[in-house]
Amino acid sequence: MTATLTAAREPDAAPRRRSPEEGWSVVVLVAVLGMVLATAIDEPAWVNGDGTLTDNLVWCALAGALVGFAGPKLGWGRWTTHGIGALFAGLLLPIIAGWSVAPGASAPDAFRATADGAVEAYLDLTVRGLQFTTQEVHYVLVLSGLVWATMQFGSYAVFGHRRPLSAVIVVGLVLMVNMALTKRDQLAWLVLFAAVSLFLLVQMHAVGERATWARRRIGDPGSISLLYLRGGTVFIVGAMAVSLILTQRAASSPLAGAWTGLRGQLLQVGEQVGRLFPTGGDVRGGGGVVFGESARISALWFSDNGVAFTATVPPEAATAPRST
Amino acid sequence: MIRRLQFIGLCIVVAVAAFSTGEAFLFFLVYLGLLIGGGSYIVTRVGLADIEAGYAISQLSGHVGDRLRVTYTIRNTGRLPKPWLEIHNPTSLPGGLPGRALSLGSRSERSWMVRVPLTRRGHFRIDPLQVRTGDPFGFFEASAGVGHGFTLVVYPRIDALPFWRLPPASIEGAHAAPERTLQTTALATAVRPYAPGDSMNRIHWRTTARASEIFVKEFELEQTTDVWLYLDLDAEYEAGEGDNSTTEVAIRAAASIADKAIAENRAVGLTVSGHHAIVVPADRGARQRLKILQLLAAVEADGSTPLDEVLVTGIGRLRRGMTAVVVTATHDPAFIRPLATLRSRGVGVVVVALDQALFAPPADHEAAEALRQHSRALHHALAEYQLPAYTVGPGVRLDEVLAR
Repeated sequence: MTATLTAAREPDAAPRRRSPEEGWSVVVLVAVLGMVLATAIDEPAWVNGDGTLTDNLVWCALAGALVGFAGPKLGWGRWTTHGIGALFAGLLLPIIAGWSVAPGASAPDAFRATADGAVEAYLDLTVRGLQFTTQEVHYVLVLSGLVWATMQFGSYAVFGHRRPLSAVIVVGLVLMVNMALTKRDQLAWLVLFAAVSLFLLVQMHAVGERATWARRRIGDPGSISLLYLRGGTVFIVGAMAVSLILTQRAASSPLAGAWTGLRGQLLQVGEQVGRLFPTGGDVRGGGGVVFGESARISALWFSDNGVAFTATVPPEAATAPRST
Repeated sequence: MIRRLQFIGLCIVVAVAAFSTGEAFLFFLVYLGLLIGGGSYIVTRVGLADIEAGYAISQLSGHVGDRLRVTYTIRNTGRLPKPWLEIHNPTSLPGGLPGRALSLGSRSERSWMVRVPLTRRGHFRIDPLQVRTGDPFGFFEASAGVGHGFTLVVYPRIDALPFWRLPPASIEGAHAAPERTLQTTALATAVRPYAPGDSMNRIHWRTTARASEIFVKEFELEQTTDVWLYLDLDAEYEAGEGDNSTTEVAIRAAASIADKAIAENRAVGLTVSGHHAIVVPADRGARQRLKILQLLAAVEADGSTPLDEVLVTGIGRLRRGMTAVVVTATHDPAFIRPLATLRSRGVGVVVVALDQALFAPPADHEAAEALRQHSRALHHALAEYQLPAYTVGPGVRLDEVLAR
């Protein structure tokens, strides 16, 4: 007790830092990035149109971001952080995925449900030679892993490497792929993501400049950061408003004709790969029809003005008298 | 991590995808990228246009403890406001010169002054003023240098030594301080009314004629003439840190003694035993004072030659009637014997000893006791040869310690 009191009264003892060096605002911005990504992936209900199965993606994003934040703060290196993050993900994600198909199950049961579902899916697609699998939990597991890994990488890029642009690009790429695959209008999520990303870039730039300001004795770094953020906010709001207006007024596809030759090949590839993916999510069609031994029926009906197929009739059949 | 080339490639892919599909979200990204990237570039490029800046320094030399004043002026002569400007002077001055971040409206001007204490002696570089601007995201940055660089010389602090008296050299007709005498010497310093018994050859005829009363001249004994300072900067005996190190206190003491001696119109010479032995030949006047101070501003405790060797080498420069002042932190008494021989040649000697035990007392009790014993032995040896010595410690007032 005496030692504790003495230490507490030590006048030269440095005050213990309770906030991260980057500030809590950066932590919040990274968390919001993850939530936007998870919600955008959850919204199209990728797993067979059942949106409830991917409701837990937000928690996976936050958990991944937490690992990427905690690693640098605890002094872990890049590979240690990612290794420990992968370990946690390996333990937690099967349970979370299991709870999505078996709500209320105990953690071991949820884990077992995920394991069984994943094995069955593998057997369906490889051993049994089925065109499609009826299992769902492995899709949830893969989506959860994707969100967790993306956010862990992004968060470590911000707090470990101090490279927020890398985080924005990687998370943005996943978001863009998601938006490209679904027909749902997710522009609002992209706008929110862009705003948060730009604020993150401004904040992190101010954090990086603080050391320079302190070295050059340029006033109080805290108040200068506010000045910086104020200028950045005006810039961001202006740029986003103009971008939205231009998007509404000036969007066309002058290069669409350049890819017509590729459509058929893309459809073939899509059919081959599509058997591994779930139905749902209002998948964007290729604008054509492929005839094969089997076809998957999605939850959405859409019409297309394009030519579905061309039938070539033999000349003798065309001239033969029609029987009555 | 994302490299610049990959980033540019990604932007091109997004743009091609947008113009191929016409998708709204891709166009949003394209427009946003163009506005943010292009806007950042333009903001940075025009950020330094139509800017006039300058700075003025109050002095190019000073003493430790003085305050340097730097006045900055920045003016925007253009119509566009400047949202972000960073102004600073890169410098080797300890602590640097404080910069400023500000925004300037159209056709406006800002001026301010900073005061910086000069805390360390030396030659310091003040580089041209740097004006920097950039975008809020850190994508682009622009900077410009304004004006010329300067070299600022910070001399050691000089303490007034009102009670410091040099010991007399052992020659006839010389004295350490001005002193009236009945003898006729070369120093006729004043006149006074005639008193019975005054010799006729002491009458000052011009004053007598002017005042219509008999005046006679008064004489003073000639002072000891030249002073030669030996500043020992042997790295082996360096102790303490910052202003309270043996080096800084020794340099301060040497500067103060030299200043006092020159103020008394004495010729002063200096030998500094640093990395190389540097000798400033004895001379009088303000120019000599400046030479000595400039040398003392630059020296460091990087010497390796023992003091006795330095004294033996330089003993030929000491003439009869001079006083040798030795400032040292050594506790090796080997230097005392060469000094003792000077007395017989009519050269006065003073030792200013910096006690290592006071500057950096060792944590180990035995080591501290050994250091104290060395110090006592040194003072005993100095007393044995009847060499006057002053002991100086850290944080003391030199005018009190060197009072006699």
